[in-house]
Amino acid sequence: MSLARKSAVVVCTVWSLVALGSCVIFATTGVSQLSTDAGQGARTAIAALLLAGLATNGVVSTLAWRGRKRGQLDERDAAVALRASQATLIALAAIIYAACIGLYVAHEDAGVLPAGWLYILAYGIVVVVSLVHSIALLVVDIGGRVDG
Amino acid sequence: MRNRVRELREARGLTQAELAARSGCTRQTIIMLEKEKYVPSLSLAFAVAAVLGDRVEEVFQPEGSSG
Repeated sequence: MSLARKSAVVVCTVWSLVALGSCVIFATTGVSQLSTDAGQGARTAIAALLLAGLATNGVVSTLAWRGRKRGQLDERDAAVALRASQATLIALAAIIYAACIGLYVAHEDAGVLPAGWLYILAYGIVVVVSLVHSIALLVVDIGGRVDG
Repeated sequence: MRNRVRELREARGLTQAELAARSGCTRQTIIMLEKEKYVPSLSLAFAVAAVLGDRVEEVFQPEGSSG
């Protein structure tokens, strides 16, 4: 397995666990509790999960920088990363749009949105970007056609 | 883009890893080249052709060309 593919597998695995953990915490805490003092533990736990994910991204980026110098990453890997970034941008725009429209429709009559949803959106975007990008990298690397 | 990378590599007794190392790319790129799933940049195409000891137009041909 190439360095690029190994890195994508590691990032995908870590961020999948972060996403799963975040979903469990959000579900057990509840949106209304999230922005209160009672939700402090949940917010700390989610921040810790995201820190672990971001630390993984940092380590992988450092290994990629070293790998590039040693010739373990080449022009095709750069082309794959570019194509994956393009796909991630489109997917992220669609996801954010769907999430915001969904929240709007759900709370339109109430006229107010619980603050906890904004917290979920903020942290959710960070998780989704990393997870979608790593999945896109694997899909493009394994099967996609990219040009140098 | 069609190519004869695998045919020429095997004729010269090179492994994919050896060809990759000498061409300045990864083994994964050589694998994708041989599967004709990757179109290399001009510089990589020249590097691969040089390692295989052939002219670049003998190694790589555009789709639909007769030779």
